[in-house]
Amino acid sequence: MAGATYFLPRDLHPGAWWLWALGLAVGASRTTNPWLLLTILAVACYVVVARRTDAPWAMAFRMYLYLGALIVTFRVLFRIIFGGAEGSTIILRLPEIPLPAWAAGIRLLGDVSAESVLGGLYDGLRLATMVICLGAANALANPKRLLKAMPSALYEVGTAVIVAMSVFPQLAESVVRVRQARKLRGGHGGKRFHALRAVVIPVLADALDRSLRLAASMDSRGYGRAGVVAARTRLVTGTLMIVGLIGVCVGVYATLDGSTPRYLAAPVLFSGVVVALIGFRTAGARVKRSRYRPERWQLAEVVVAASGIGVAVAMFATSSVDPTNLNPSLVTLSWPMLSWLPLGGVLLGLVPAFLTPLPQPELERVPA
Amino acid sequence: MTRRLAKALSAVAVAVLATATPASAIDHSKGAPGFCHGDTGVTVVVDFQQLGGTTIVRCLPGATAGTGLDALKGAGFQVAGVQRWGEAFICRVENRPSAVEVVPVNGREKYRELCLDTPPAGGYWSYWHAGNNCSWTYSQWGVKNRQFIPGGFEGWSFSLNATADTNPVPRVAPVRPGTEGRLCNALEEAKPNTNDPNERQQPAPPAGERPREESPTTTPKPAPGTPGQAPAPTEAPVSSDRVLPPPKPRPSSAKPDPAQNVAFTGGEGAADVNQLIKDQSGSSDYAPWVAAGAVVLLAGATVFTARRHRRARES
Amino acid sequence: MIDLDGVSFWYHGQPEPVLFDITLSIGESELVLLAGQTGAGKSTLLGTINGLVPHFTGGHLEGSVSVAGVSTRSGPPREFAHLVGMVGQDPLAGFVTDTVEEELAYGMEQLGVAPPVMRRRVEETLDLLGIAELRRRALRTLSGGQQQRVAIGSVLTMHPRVLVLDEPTSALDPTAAEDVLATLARLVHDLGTTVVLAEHRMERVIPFADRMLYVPGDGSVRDGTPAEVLRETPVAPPIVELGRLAGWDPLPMTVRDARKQAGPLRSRLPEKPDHTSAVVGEPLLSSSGVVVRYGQTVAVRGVDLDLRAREILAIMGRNGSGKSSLLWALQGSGPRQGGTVQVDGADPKALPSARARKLVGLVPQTASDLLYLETVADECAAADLEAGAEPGSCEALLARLAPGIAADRHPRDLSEGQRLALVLAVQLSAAPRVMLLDEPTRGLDYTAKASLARIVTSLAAEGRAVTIATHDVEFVATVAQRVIVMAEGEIVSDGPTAEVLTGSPAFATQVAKILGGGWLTVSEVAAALPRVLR
Repeated sequence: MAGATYFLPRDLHPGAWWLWALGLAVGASRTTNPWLLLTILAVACYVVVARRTDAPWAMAFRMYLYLGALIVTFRVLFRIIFGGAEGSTIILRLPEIPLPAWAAGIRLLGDVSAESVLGGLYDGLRLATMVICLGAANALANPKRLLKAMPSALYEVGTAVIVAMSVFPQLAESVVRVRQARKLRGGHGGKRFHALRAVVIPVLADALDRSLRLAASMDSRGYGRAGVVAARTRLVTGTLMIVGLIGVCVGVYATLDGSTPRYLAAPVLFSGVVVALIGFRTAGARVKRSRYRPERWQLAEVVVAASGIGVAVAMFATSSVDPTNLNPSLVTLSWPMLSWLPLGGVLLGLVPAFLTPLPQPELERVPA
Repeated sequence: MTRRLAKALSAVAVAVLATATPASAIDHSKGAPGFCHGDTGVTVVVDFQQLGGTTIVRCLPGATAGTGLDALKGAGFQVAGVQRWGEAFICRVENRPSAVEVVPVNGREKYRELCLDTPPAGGYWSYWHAGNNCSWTYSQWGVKNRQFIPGGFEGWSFSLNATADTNPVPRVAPVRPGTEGRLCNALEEAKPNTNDPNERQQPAPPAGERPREESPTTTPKPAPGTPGQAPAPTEAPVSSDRVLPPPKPRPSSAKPDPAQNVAFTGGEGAADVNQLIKDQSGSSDYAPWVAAGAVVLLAGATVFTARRHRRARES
Repeated sequence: MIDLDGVSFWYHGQPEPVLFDITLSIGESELVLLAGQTGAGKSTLLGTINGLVPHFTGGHLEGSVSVAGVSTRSGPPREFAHLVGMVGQDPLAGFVTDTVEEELAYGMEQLGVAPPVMRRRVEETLDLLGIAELRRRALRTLSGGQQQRVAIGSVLTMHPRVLVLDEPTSALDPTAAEDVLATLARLVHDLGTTVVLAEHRMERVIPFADRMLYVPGDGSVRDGTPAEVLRETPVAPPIVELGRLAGWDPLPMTVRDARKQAGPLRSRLPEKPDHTSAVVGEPLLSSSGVVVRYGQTVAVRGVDLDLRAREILAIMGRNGSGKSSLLWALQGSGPRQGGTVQVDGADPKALPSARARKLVGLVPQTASDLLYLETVADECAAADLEAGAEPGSCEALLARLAPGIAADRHPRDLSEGQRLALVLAVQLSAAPRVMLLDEPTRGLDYTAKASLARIVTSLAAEGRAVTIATHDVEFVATVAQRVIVMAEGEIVSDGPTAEVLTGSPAFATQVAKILGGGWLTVSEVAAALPRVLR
């Protein structure tokens, strides 16, 4: 094993980070135990801080934390404002606002019980944790590289997304520029519509010009040199993909819905995936394209993915041993209890913070 | 030193956990064991049926009005509602079916009641009511929506793999001792006449053996509820994907016969629910402290690392 | 390498062909300069080489174009990607990815080049263009010259036999332009690539060019060595005009050649050129300690500047030296964190924008940002309304600045020079006494520049203060009385044009380089000559 090269700084495969984060999120979805949720949060935050780059998407992680806080606040506020009397420990007596008959069943304010506030808190915490886990994936995995790692059958979609992603900042830039220029021409005079038009028309004209130039540039640089495909092959690929995807849909539905016959679940799901994969392969095979510095799945990626999947597995496993603590009862107010197995499982998610190479430093970030 | 510290910490932990949890299952500070004795109050019968365990009969004495939930909790039972609907849908009574026991619901392999979402039609607590000396009636109203009958009965019977017609009736006849042979004169109660899951039963006019003087001025505690034990949304008016078939009301012609009652207790000897949960969960008193420690440690490390990186970036 | 055989091209709905019956052949490893006025068909001719014309633009093409024996009829431009590399005028608009390395690899990915080969070529190209240290940078954060070099690199990695560039240096400051052109010359020498490039500012390219194509605008092409072609073109770089004036034969193409022949001319000229500039009036705008910053970056660092009536001031300096920020700050619409600006006793920043523009007018770098209506007449009418001027005043201004623009034309269909004149007319209808122009010479050909010079001069003669930010040394030498040079937000030199432009080799005009002694423009020399003869 190449022990010396393992820790050399490099960017990990974005898929590995996504698997890790999804594992954590799935784990979080299994529990409302605040101890576990807080631990998952802390684990995610630490790994992000330890392994993120200075890229803008990595720095946006803070936004996800704010979003999480907002979710929790809203959940609790909703419990207080609408029907907070679930349970018997009243902690706050607010005047109930009488509502007209058509709003029957909706309760505004009134007594607020500790149980319902706690319920809102746990529930909000769970949702917030899941959102923050996805934010962690976003912070750790370069979204563009993730698109690049897509199967070649989806290459066109990926390119479109990348182009769109670079168009938005440009559009914003144009708007700022044109609005400034607008001031030069006397600014805010005239009707509202007039003023709006004075900004929108130059911006759109600019965007149109740009996209034409981009299209010309892409065309002359070989974009879409797919080669000629026989109509028959195209038909076969298309059919394979559609049949496969339908199979996947039916399979997923049947798996999630307990009342559907079992033979529609795993077998259909599995064969759907296989058919779709064959479709993707044949579609990808006709594409004569190559990838610059293709993402490679190495040992460190396996470690990251395994740690995330480990968290999810641990939470699933403990739910058969210790379901009570994963969803603490709110009937009698008490400290939520916790057992060792889920806690240990969640802490497994911390592995990437220590056992992965550091990300490659960006050489020059200072704008010119 | 460390051991003493650990000991002290664990002592604190035990103290906190111990003081925070009530001591026993049936809350003996509420209600009374056995049947009610007068025309006020309501008797609550809990029949575990196939789940096993002794049937419990308790009384909420003296109450003249309230919801089914008030009766159940007021009689001292420990209940749990599903996380989705809250106490509008009771999923456990006296920690049965507990999170660790497998309920043999047909078609749901190894089903365990986690109290997250609406329980399946094959295994749930069915909700009944009866006037004194009347026969048990499957409730058309949700537990938070119906008004109990003063002097009457509320019944909870675990329904396992039953259909609408075979829902098991509580096996304790709704007859107060000493009133055997009296006529049933409870009014037939109105069914919910709208599809509004939050429609509330109007406080019934005095019903029972004797008309009563006091008018129902005590307005019931307003709370959103669901009809019967049939699940219905409280938070969002979305029809649940596992809606139970509405059970047909059973003819109330059969005369209840206390002679066929199964053995029951007042719940005096029931195990402490919280202790039970704790035992079942395999939880540790130390684990929350370790978790808290880990969270604090990680948060500190996060802040420290973020600062260090920022400094490195700026230099 | 490139063969055009009887090529004619019409755009849809236009009776006159843009190109008519052109037959020429360009050999391997030639550097060909394509010159001609705006709208004469330069870009069209370039587009035919990889099939963008007519595959992408539409229109009707007759005759045949083939590159390395493959006819562009046989497939769309993408099938020529490995043969012809195309670099546009605005490199940023052509970027598909967002970092340097990925942009360099993009074309190769499309061609299906094997990953190890790609890796190697990217490294080679980074070194060849001298941008290795930029490899992980985001494309948007690069300077104009760097972007242009990345754009060239991104087609070079496909190892094309032909490189086609449309005005690669038009947006660049002189130094960056030199870099790009030197890079191209190196490609021709080292890799044997054929380079075809269109350029307005021929003086930069001519020293490197083996061959020149001149498109006069009637559909024909004049073909030959630069010396041959330039003998009779209506527009020519100053060096050629000086050669024509002095009757040198052969025409010098480089400053070095010209110097060798310049001895006799120099002796016929008086000691010092006559720099009697117009009498400069009182200050119309005075500013002191102007500071502009964007977050941590300081764009303008405490500049003191007075703009005087009847004076044309040129602001020079490399890209990012704070020229635009200073102009915007003086006008009052841009940010200004410190210092004072006084026009007519008022600070334009404190005034509402409609009043500020009556004091100071500004034509921004992208002049078309100001235009939003369908016809020139509409724009003019709106301008009168916005400025509160007499109806028709904008139209009158426009007629004076650029006569002959049809009132029903769409502003976006105008040539760069005409559009600039329109925006200038729009801004002048508010009758400001101070007029600021940000990079007005960008993309203008010699003719348009000459008319801009005329316009600017007349504005100043009417008693206005005119300030122009530009890279164009020759233009500055023609119009400006005073020049300031900015670097890193500070004024590093400030003085009369002759002094500043002759003081440093970076800002010297071609005539100054050839003759020295304070001579700046051909017209100065021409004006001085007859007097000597007399």
